[in-house]
Amino acid sequence: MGSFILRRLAYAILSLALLSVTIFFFVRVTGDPAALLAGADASAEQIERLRQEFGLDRSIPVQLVSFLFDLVRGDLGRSLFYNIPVSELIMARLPATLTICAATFALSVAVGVPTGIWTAINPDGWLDRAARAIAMFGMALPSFWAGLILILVFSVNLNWLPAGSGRGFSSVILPAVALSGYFIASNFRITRSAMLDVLNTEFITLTRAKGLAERRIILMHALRSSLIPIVTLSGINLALLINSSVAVETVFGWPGIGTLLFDSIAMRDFPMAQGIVVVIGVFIILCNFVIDVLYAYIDPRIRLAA
Amino acid sequence: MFQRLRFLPKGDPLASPHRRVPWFSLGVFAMLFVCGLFPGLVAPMDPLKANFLALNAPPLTTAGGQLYLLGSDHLGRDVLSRIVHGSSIALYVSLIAVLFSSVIGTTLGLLAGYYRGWVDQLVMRVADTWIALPTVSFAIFLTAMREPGATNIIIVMILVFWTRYARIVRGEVLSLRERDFVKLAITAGASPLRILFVHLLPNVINSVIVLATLLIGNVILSEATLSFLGLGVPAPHPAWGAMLADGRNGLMSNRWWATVFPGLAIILVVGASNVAGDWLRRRLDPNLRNL
Amino acid sequence: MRLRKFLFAAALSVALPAIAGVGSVSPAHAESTVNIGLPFQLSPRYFDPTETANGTYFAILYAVHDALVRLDDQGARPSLAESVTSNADLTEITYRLRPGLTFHNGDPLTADDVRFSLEHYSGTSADAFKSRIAAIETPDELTVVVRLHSPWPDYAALSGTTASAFGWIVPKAYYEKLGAEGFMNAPVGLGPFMVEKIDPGREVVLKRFDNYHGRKPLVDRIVMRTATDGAQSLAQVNTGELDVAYNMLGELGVAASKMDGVTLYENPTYTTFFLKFFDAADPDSPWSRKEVRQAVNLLLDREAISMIETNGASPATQSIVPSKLPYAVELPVSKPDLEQARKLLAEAGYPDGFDGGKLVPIAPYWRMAEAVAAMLDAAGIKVEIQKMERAVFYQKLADKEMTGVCLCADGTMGNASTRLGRHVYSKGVHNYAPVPEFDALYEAQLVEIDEAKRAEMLAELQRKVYDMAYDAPIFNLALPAAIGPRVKNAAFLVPGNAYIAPVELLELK
Repeated sequence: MGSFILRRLAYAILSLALLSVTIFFFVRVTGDPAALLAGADASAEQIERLRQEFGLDRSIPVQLVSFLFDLVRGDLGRSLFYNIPVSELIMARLPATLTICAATFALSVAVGVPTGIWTAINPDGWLDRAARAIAMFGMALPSFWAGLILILVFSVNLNWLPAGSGRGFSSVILPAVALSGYFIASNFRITRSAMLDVLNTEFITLTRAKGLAERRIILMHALRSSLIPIVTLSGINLALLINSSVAVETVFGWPGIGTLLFDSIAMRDFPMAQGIVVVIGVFIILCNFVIDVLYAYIDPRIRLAA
Repeated sequence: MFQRLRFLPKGDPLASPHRRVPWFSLGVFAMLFVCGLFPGLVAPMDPLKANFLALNAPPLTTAGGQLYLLGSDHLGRDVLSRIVHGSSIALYVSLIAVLFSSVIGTTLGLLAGYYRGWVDQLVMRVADTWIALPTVSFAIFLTAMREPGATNIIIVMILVFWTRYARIVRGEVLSLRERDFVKLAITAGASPLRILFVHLLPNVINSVIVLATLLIGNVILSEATLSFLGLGVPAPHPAWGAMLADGRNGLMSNRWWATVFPGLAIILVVGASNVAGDWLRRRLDPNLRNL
Repeated sequence: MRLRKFLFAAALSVALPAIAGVGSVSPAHAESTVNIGLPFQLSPRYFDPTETANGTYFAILYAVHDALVRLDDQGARPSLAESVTSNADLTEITYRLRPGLTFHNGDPLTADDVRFSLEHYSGTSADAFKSRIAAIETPDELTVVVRLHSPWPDYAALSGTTASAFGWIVPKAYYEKLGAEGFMNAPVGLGPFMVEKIDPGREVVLKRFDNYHGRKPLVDRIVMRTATDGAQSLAQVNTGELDVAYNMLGELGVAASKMDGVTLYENPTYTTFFLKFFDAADPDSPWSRKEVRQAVNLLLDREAISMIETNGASPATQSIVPSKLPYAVELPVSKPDLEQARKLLAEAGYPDGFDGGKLVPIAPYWRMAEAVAAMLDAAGIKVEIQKMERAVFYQKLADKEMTGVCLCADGTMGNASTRLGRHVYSKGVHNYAPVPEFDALYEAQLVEIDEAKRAEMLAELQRKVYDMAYDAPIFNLALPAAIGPRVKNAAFLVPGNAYIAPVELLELK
């Protein structure tokens, strides 16, 4: 077990290192940040001064080493546009993104899982047919489009819900609903098929033969087994969730790291862009590491397989 | 991370007792191909031709002897014609991206699964890292580097989607490798190339085809997202995502047609790709999980 | 049964908070707080007047800071200064400061602060000030004298308006203690509102400054919040989340005017949109032909573009100098005439049009570029739209790296001379096609002290630029803003300023 965790940890660290180097080079091939930052009327001296200020006059290997060194210490540099430490800004914006991601997750489980259970117990009923059709629609629904339509209906025409971020909980509703279409659908699908798997096993067929009183057992057994695929799916969907949230945040002017990332590139604020991508990457890699370790506890076969 | 896939259910998520051919989805696909390959023949008007006398015309308006079936946009361009021409972009981007990512991903997956050891480690670690990079950041960096265009989107999609093939193919090869016919071929002294392409590739090709069908929808959806964010095919070319973005101002005064119709086009095509992919999976490879 | 209960509970757990949320939508503002949506990212740099690089800064400056001479609803008049006098040959300008003024942090305003702010200024036109100012003297605590090397007729046009922020004052001791970067994040000024809280990139909360020397502010707080997407910010005005949203371009204007209680204010600006021909100096390029450029002027349907962008509120123009700027002359605007344009193109040897290369629009006016491209296409002139971020656009523009045609905009305050200096004069930052005749006229008027003579010279220059179709101006932008039902006076009172100013006149019902 210990060696398994160590190996996974080594993989995670390797991924982190690979990620940092990739990002470092990505950012630097996009143009001279100093010249872009200095603006239209800047003189060559001004640009040179900025270059020195941000250490861009040093050679690439030196920059890379100092970038990695700073990264290990948690120093993501200073935002060129906002002029404060990048980590400070990301920390200020992260809660907003986590809020809609958490709300989306909650919504997708709260709606997707019960529907999945219900339709698996009553396959091919009207609810099952309807749910499957809606799920197909949900899987194909562009979240930003859903966001636009929700704003039109609920903020402009009905005037029920805010279109921006400043109204606390009620502000979360529209972006979370817009974002959750795909995730509700995919949770529904996975729960339903996991349940069908379980219900088709002989054990269940036997317990079912004993009569309706055993339904509770079915439910408990099935529920528990359907949790595993949901966790699995969440790990896989994590990157997707963060990706989709960039577009949805833009639609709702949501002050999360998605809009921050988008704006930082528009402003050529490269320490910022670099920092956000690193933080998102670290977040995803760590989540995957935790899930891997959790699985190893659940199923010893995995430890052996790896 | 790959090991986790075994936790996903074996059953088909949308298994229905009647394994009907999804005619509707296939029909949508056929339409996508016809519109995408011959937009000039299908579209009633020039998608770039502005008509300043018919700005924001609602659906079914007739102006200057032309019928605007789905209305016109803020420059008086026919929405239907733009959707038809937009399907060209969607089709072009998705086919090329899917083709290249299948070839790259399948090759790497075959190599990783067959050679195992450090090759496997390298491919899988890069794939793990790639998952942690948001698509949008790929696209944003590329757009900053190069002029925006379809090629950028295709590069981004290939960068993102090859890992899907690599993971699936590697997993299948790992188990195929333990099968007798492969073991026999190895002991018979067949060259690695022969084993890879004669014994292994034909056995994973079904998964590759199923995955490709499912990915067409994924790519179109991602392309729309990037175009919506202004990172895609530049104006005035009618990319669906860009049409949505253009239409959103009109949406505020209930001029919904310029936004709603391209959105529906995306949903139709992506949905069709999902349904057709599920159907193919049932037909070709019932054991395939989580593609 | 149990299952049904479980499902019901699950559904309820989602629905209940949603229903509860609906109730809280009703306006939850504290008393007399105005929420203003900003159509740009709120950079801390906007809080430092000495860095003022463009007109956007004035959205913040009018609230937090104050100037020696400030443009407000009654024209350019002394604000921090009690009086401004100059000697006969315009080489010495003397400012007498109002006594007893204090900054937001309590520091008194002294001549030293003024000298520091002037010397430290690095924003727009800083080079012009640096090269012409011989010395800044402070004979006593409340007097500042600016000495110029030679007469400079444009000094007042550049320093007392929104053409530059030369003359906007920061506290010397505080600024030096915190450094430029520290100051941006904790700014202190002399303006009607003081900064209470900055959430970088998201919002700034401003609180009324009770010791403001001018008219007393009419609201307690102003919250300026980044709202860069027009459609979404208009939706926020509808729900009451915002009281003012800028840049209601295109259909947003129509939408705003249809909303209950929302009014649309079409704010006339000095922003001229025009086509600039980058390749006009290249004899091999079709754009070097006067007939071609005249044809483009005839192909542009300016009314239609104005309709698409601003519902017709922006007046068409055929000069890059807005008629309200000093020394501007009225020039006739040609009606669209496809036949005549074709004839001119045929004369130039392009009867079927030509490949015009790139059309580079200033961000984010992509749709205007699409309209222009469609209009040129009518005579066979094909252009390919190239989107560029604003920062890249300005950099390439200044580096003279652009080719093809530009859909440019210039909204800087000043006068005909400052406007023409950027575009027509060969040393101008945005000039791509020098014309010796223009240069001679421009340089001569620059030092002409006689008002009438100077006006005549500038008029001649403008007519010459017009006659050779040096560029193809489109319109002067009227920038629509959506104003919510709670606002009594949105105070768009500084001519040509895109944002609310002077902020102390902003009033709620």
